[in-house]
Amino acid sequence: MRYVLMALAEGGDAAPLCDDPAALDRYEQELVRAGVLLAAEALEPAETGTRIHFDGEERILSRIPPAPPETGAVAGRVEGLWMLQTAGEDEALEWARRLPLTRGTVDVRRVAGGGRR
Amino acid sequence: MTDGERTPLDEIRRAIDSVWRIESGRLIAGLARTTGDVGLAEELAQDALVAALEQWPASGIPRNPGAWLTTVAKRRAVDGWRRRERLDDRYAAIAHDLEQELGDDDPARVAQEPIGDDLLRLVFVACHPVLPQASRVALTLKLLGGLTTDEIARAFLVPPATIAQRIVRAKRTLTAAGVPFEVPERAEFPERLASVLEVVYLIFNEGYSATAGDDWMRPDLCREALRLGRVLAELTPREPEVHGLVALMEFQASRLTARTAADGSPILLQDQDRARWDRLLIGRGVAALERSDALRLSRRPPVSRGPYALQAAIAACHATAPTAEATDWEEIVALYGALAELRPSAVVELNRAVALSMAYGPSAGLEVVDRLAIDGALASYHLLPSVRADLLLRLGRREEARQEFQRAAAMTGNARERELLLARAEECL
Repeated sequence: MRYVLMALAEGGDAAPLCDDPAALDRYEQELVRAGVLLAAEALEPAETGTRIHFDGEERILSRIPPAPPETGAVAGRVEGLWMLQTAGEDEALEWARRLPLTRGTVDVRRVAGGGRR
Repeated sequence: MTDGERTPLDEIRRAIDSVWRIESGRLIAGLARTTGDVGLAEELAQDALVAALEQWPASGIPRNPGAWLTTVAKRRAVDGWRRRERLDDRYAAIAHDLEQELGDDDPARVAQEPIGDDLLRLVFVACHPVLPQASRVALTLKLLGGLTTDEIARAFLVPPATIAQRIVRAKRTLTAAGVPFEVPERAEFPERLASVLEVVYLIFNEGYSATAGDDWMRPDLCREALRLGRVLAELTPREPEVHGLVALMEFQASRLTARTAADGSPILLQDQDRARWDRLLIGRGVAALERSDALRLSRRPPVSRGPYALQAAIAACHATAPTAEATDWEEIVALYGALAELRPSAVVELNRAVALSMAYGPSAGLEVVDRLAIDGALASYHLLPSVRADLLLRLGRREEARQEFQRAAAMTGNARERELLLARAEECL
């Protein structure tokens, strides 16, 4: 089954999610060595991205707003993605636990239809 | 958690299962290096797992679970040797060494031991030619895949006791034969690596086209083989054929969901909905094949594609063609020709015949198929009459085609495939 681990920034804190980029490299190497990593991407800061709002026929483009000031609030801004192929959710969760992040939130989501892959 | 039924105890057990799946290969590999005995290493690892199941529900999962399991397993090993040292002085020395190793009691240090080489040694031992093929498969899934005996039994549709016995015997055989825990030396290496690749591909194929039962495929085995292949590619990054095999499996796995209709009946390659092919896996296949080609071309002198890379190249032609009609059949004919030279086989020849018929028309293919039919090597292979029927049908020889489809249906062991062939026979009328 396929799972996407999504690292989300939290409000009130502009610091990067990971204080130790070398640990993140090592972690990804572990994923590769275990044969579970299908794809991984880190994203440029949300401020540099564009948001498109859909309203019927209308498309409204804007800058992605800054994170909300409340500390701890999930800002809904994805900072990084890892797609894993694991035996099941538990294994995906175990890998997610091992992410060397210092702060932030990680959502573990199953890829639709991934159960047959 | 979405599942409200789960108790905290369930949670931790499932977490332990996952830790086991992730850590067991490295754990067993490290222990096998220390003890020199794969069978003993596996037992020690199992003991450590039992200890985890007893202790972690109360203590919580340790921060570095792999190091915890290693330390516990090594302590068990020391205890065992201390008991035996009364019988034999050599055990005292081993126990002493191991105690020194455990002495500083720093889990981080235990975890930082180089494990890649040990894992590779474990791969070669599990796929050792002294073992029968079926045992190599079972041992590889158990030691490197972290699968339980029950899981292996379910995947291969045999009773768990059969697999358990196979594994016990295999471990005994390895000990009796004194198989050393090492990577084979240069002269032996290519042949031994070929044996490893064969085991991995066998597992993949068992899942891809189940030889028995009503399920067209058991994708779990495909995933497992693909994972083993990817692990192997990291362990032996300079071997073109390893990347060739990974590429081949990525391409074939990319079609897993497109191969069957909603009712479970098989869909032939040319009829598959290409939008359902898995682009991510195709991309990975292309990358693995490029890596394989780059490696073999960087050798001095450069080497030609091996059998897996050739099959991957054939699969790549299909996977990257936008439509069935746009497939580069002439290239496929050439690749099958190269494969037939490297590994002459009637099955390869049959595939070449299909490619010939697509590139140059049905009679070009039928010529080769008729030669194969006379030759008799594929007398019990249902795809020979099935391919022959297809070519006859394309030539408008409907009655002959119908008989051949029926013959093929009577020969296949796969229930779904039989239905498909009988339906095609009906269509000839």
